[in-house]
Amino acid sequence: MALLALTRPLLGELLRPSDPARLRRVATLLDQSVDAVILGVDLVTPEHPATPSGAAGVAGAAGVAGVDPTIAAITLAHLTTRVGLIVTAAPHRDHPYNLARRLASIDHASLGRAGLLIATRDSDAPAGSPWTASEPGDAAADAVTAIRELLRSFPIDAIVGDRRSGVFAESHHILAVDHRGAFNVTGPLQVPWSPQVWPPVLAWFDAAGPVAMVADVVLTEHDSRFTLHRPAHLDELDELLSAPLSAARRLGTTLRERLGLDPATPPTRGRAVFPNPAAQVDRVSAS
Amino acid sequence: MTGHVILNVNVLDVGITHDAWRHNALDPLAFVDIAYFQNVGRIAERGALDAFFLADGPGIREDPRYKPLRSLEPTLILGAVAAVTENLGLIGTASSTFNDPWELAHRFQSLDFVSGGRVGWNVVTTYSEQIAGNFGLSELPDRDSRYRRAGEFVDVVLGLWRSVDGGPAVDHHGEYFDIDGTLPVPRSAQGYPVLVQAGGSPAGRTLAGRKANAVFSAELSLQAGIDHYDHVRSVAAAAGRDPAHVKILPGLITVIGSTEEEAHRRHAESTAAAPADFPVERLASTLGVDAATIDLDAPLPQHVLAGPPDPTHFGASLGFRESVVRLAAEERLTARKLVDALAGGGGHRKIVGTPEQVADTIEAWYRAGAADGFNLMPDRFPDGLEIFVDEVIPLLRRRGLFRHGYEDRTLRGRLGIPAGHRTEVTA
Repeated sequence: MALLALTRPLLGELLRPSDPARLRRVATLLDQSVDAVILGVDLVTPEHPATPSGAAGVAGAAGVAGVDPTIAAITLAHLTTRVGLIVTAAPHRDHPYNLARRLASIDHASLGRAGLLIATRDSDAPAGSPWTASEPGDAAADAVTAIRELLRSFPIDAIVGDRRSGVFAESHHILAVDHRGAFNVTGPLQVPWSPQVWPPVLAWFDAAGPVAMVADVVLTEHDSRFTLHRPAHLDELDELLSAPLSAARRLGTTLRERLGLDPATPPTRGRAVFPNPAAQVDRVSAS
Repeated sequence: MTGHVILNVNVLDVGITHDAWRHNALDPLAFVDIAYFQNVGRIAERGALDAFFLADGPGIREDPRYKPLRSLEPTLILGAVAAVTENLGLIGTASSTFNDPWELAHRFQSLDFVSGGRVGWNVVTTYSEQIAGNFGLSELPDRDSRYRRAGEFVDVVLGLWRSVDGGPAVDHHGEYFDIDGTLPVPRSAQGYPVLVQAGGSPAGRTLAGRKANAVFSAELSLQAGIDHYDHVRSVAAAAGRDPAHVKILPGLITVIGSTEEEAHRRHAESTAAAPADFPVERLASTLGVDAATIDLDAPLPQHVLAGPPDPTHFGASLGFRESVVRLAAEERLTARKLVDALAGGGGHRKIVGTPEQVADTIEAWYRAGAADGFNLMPDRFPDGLEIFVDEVIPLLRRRGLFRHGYEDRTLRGRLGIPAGHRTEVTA
């Protein structure tokens, strides 16, 4: 399948508000030519300059400026209907609860096209983590585990919306997470199951061992399933998209399907967070 | 005061009343449907409202058995609304306790850039114990340390934003954060986001006066509104700022009918449908007392009126508590009347009436110097907002209180607040 990887600075150029027509045109081509787009690939390739010198980067005070991958994803979700939207994120500053919530939000907004490329740290950000003292690779792997726990905590079937009885949610089906590790997260997540429940987690070629262990898909040099395209600037992106990429298969609607993953079947057991009023009544009448 | 009233709409899932979802034609899953929020955004822009506002906390605050909850992440809802609007401001709430300042600054600046300079960040310190566990804190930090952290957090975020707009690199080494460098995000059409502050505790008001461009407050009586307005502006002046650069925007719950009778019927519908213990539980949690100790037919006891025994460790919002207690004392309300006056809300003022009556109260507060505008909280979406846009806005325009269209495309331009580092002294 054809994967397109864009850096945050390139996303900054693409999403520049002064040229909405160009963005719409590129979005249409993404749907036609690519299976999935990786947003913010510079998070996992800090050794490569985000924008080569001479390219038309957005001039910021910091030199090369770009935009947040999740903000890029929500914009592209609105403008596309087919392409997978894989956001790159590093949980050393972006807490797994907040990350899980944004991932679920993008999956809802894109009707099941979201994915996560997990990075260990953002070399653009100041060093250190405000949340954990764990080694970054271990923290990233633990974040993936916590995120999956959160994403399964609020079954969407719990929303019954019974206007007559006034019961909006059978909230006793909502589960705590009680995750302990590099991050301690009680849960539940406030977003009910998104279309994929578990948007796929990808690991980059050189991902640390613990990260590769927890990922659904590890990108490797010799994996013939994937063709990776990494345009350095907008002109190159235009050129790349001018003809359908031969490897684009466009199979399936969700990103999980495209990546050949089975639908998620999360366990639905755990510690209930909210009481079941009906059960309380039963107990009273039985005693 | 600006030349016109500032009007934001606070999009509290499908309406502020607990039973809003039972009286509309929306799918029960509208609260996680991005198209629903985009539709509300389009209605707001049709009325030329200043901004679409989202309240938030990163966790489930109360059992969603009887009503929808804050769910999708605000910057992403706003990103989707930005894609279908051109001028509408976009203000998102995010907690200074449960975010990292570098990550937050980066994400909000990205949204501001992409939307063409329409974004604001509403900083809250978050007062929910339930949320603390999601971030590895077994209990919520006490109020004083939350506000110390918030002050430092806001300094770092503002410093990072100013760095994209020609300001110096950040070099911050404080009690909570060690952050240096410049933020690698482009400058937006308005420079960087507007800073909004919500929360009416003494520390919150001081933070607002020193740093914020707008304050989302909760004032229940006109005199309380005037007092708060004067207080925040005097803090701003004392900090060397132009007081006109802090806009005061109290919350206003609207229940509108084409006749007074229709409005009251609409309101009564909500009151009647409330689960029996729901409004009393809400009042008890706002006051920080056990619901079982509240006598509905008596005025609030003196020890409750006197204030929380320990403000530093008070588990709820001090600002909401103060507003509610002040209303109860000023109008000598029994707990039952107080519950009714609050409409199940936590402490925002409510108007039930015709479009004329709604326009009247907006005009009265504006002219009395109690508000620069309002954060509107329609009882139900979308019809509660539609009637405001279609019936109240034209009245305000006829009275010269509201503009006819968008004159400035950026939020900062519309509020008359220049980017901070050029004109203001930071504390």
